[in-house]
Amino acid sequence: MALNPGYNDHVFINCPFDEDYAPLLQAIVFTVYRCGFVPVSALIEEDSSYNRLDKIISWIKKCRYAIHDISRIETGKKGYPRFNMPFELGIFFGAKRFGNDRQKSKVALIFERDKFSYQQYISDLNGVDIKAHNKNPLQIIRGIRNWLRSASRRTTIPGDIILVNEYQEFIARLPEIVANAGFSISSIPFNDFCQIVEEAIREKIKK
Amino acid sequence: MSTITLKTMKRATTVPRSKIRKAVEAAYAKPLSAVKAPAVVKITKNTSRKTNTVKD
Repeated sequence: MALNPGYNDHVFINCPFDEDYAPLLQAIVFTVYRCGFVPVSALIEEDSSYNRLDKIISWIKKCRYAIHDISRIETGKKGYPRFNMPFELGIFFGAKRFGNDRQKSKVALIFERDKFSYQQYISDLNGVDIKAHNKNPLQIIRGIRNWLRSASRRTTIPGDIILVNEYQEFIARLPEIVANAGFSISSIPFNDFCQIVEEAIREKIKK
Repeated sequence: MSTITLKTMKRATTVPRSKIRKAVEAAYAKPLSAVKAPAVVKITKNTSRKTNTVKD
């Protein structure tokens, strides 16, 4: 049975959306769904008359949980770093600090690539518990699973071995799913990928 | 096996859910030993020009 998600189910995903990050994004989306939550991002909105920052603020407001990956510190092709992820993390912190009681209940998981590397580029976060993922999807899965279990106290969240095994089966079957659905593996819109994950988990848990 | 309740939301997708469901069911019907090597897909932004809102 599928239920409509609410504030306590939405997980805001604040991470790079590029090819290099794709294995980690796949793992994030799968894990969030498999733990009984729903991933959202500013990218899911279709209304072009609504500016990007408004979309981000609107979704952050609707999400109790957020996963922020601030590991992308390299400069891009034009020689500039991307500041969007730290900026959106700042909005989330601001909502939690200055918002109403509902907003104050927000909980974040912050990822970096290598342990303590954040201290070199965003030292304001000293004292905040930040997890290193080492660009490893399995570390991402375990980190998100343990965080959601602890933050939500939901006892229905499966153990990490189940999650990892099901994820590995999912990515093994993914090429065929993608082909069956008529997509190119090199280009799947975020919303369609989410729908694939929803159906894959539905298929798995019904057995 | 855990007893999570799967939560889904209406999304502006480019393919109907029924087609995705069939694609997933067909893929999961095969034994795992028969599937190809794992793959990474490139997840892209949704653009309003290419998408239609599909209701479940």
